[in-house]
Amino acid sequence: MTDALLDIAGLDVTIRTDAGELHALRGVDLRIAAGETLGVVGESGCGKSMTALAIMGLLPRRARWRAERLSFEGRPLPVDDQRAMADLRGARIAMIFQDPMTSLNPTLTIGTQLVEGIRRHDGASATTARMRAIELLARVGIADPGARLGQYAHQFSGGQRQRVMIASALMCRPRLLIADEPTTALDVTIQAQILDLLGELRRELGLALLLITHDLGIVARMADRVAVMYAGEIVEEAPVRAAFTRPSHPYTRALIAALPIPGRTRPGSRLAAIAGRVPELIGGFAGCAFRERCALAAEGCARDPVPLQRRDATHAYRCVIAPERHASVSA
Amino acid sequence: MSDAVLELRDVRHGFALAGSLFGAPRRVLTALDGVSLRLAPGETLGLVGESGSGKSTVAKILLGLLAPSAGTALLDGKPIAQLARRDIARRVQPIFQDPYASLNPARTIEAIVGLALQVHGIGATRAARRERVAEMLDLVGLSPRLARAYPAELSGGQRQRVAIARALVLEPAILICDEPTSALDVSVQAQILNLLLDLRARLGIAMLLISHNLAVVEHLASRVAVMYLGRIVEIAPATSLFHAPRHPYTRALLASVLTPEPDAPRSAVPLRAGPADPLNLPSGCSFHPRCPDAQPRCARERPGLDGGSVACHYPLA
Repeated sequence: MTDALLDIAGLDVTIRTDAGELHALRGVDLRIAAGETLGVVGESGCGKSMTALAIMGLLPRRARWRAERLSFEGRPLPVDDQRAMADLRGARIAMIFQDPMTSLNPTLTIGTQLVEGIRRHDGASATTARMRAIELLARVGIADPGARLGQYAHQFSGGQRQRVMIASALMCRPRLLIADEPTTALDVTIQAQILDLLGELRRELGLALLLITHDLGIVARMADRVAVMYAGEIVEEAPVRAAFTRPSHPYTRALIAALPIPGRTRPGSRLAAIAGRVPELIGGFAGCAFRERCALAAEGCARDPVPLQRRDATHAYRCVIAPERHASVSA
Repeated sequence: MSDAVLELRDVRHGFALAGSLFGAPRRVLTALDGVSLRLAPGETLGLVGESGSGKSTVAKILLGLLAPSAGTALLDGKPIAQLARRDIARRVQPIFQDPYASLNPARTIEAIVGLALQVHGIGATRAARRERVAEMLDLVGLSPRLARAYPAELSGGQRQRVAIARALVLEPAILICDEPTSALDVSVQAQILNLLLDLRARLGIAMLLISHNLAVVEHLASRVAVMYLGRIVEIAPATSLFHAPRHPYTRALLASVLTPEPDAPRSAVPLRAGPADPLNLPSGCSFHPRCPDAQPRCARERPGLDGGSVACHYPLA
C-alpha cells in the first residue's frame, strides 16, 4: 500500500500521570488511501481521539510518542515541529469536532474565521478568500451566504454551525478531513443531513475522511473500512460489511450484540451486555486487554501481546481464538 | 379514565425571556403548547422528540419542579400543585442523564442512597437505614463494598446504578427517566437497560422514558408519544408507531435511525429547512415548514390530536 495518504505503523503514546505511565495507544497501525473513509470506533477512553490528536501534532504536553512510521502524502509527519504542523493543519489536514460552538470563536464573525486560514496558507487576496467562503457556505447549505459571513456563531443553529465548521475545514482544499464525533451533539434528523453532506463532499472533492465515532450505525452508513479500538489498541480492522456481518474479534461481536436494533431485537428482551469494565491503562500489562470481559477467554489470552491475525487480505483481528469458534461458544 | 398515576391535561408552559436593554419587548418561549397525556400504573410511556420539543419541561412538571403556566398536572388524580414536596417524592422519582453531575461528590454512596430515608424519617435507626441501603445496592447489582466508596471511584455505569438505587429507595410508583443512558457507552447502556427491564418486572413500576434514541425507546416502551415544538404530534402503541408511523415527522425520525447493518436500506430523510424557532412558532401546523407533504391548509389551520393518535391534516396511511 504505497499509495496510502496517511500511513501509521506501530504508534505508541504514553502519558505521564501521578499514578504512573498511562498507555494511551499501543501499536496502532492505520492506513487511509486518498478518497477513502475509515471509521474508527470504540468506547470512551479507547484511544480513538488520541489517535487523531497524534496525527494533528496536538498531543497533550505530558504525552510521549513513538512510531515505526507516521507519514502523510509519503513524507514523515513533522508532529514535533509546531511550525511545520501549523502549515499542514487546516491546509492539507483539517479537523472538525463534536461541538462547533466551542471550536468557533464567539467574538469573531464567521467570515473572519473562514478566510483566516486561506489567507495565511495560500496568501489569497481578501476578495478571492471571500468569494471562496461564499461559494463553500452555499455548497454546505447555508442560505444567503454573503450576508451570513458578517454574523457570529451564536446566530446559527447547532446544525448550521456544524455546516460552517465543515466549510471552514474545506477552505484550503485539504486531502484529509478528520471528523471527531461530528454529529454527536446534533438531533437525529439534523445528524442525517450532516452525514449526507459529508458523504457528498467526500465524493465531489476526493477527500479522505477519518471518521471517529462511538456510533456503529454511523460507521455502517458512512465508512468504507472500520478500525475497532479497545484499550488503546486496534482489535479489528476490515471493510465495513465484513466487520459487521463477520465480526472476528469477540469485542466487535459483543458491541454489536449489546445494541437494541429496531426490527431485529425483540422489544423487552435482555440485551447482551458486556460485563465488567475497561482495564486500567496505567502500568504494564500482558496479553489481551479484553480477556477479563470476554466469554471466550482461555489460558493463552493472558500471555504475550496478541499478534494480528488475518482472516483474508483485508480483514485483520487481534485474537488467539479462531473466529469460527466464536459462534459455538457464545451461542 | 381516573386510574392514571400521572396525567397532564392541556398543559401549557412558557418561559419569559428578559427584554433587551433598549426596550425590545419581552418575548415568550413556548415550551409546551397544550399537552395532554396519561401514564397508567406499571406502564412505560416513551417520550421522543428533538431538542427544544419540550420533553424535559414535561419531566420537570411531572416531578413537581415546575408549575405549568396553564392546564393541570395530576398525580394519582390529585393536582400536583396542591401536594407537598415530600408526598410527590414518595411517588415520583427521577433518573437523569448525567451520573457524573447528579451525585454529590463529597458523600459516600451509602449517604447518597440513604439520604432520602433520613429526610422522610424512614428506618428508625442508623443500622436499619444502612441495611436498607445494602438491599438497594444489591437490587441494582452493586457490590455492598461500594457503600463506603465515593462517586469519583465509580465508573459511569456504576454511578447510574447508584442514581437508580437512590430513586428506588422510597419505593416510588413512577420513575421519570430523562435520557438515562445517553451519557453511557454502548456496553454499559445495555447493562442499564437490562436493569430497568428487571426492575419493572419485579416492582411493577411505571416509567416515563424520555430519550432521543429511538432504538432504546422501542426496546422499553409500550406506548410512545412524539413531541414537536411543545406539542404531541403522534401518540400510539409502540408497535404501531414504529411499524406504521402516521405523522410525517415520526416517519422522518424513524428514517434517521442508523443501525449497524451495512446492507440496511438507506431511506432519505425527506425534511425541508432546519429546525423551527420556538420563539417564533410557525402558523398552522408547527411542522409545516419542514414537512415534505405540506399543503396550503397546513400553514393556516393547526391540526389537533382531538382524542386520536395523530395531529396532522393529511396523516400517512
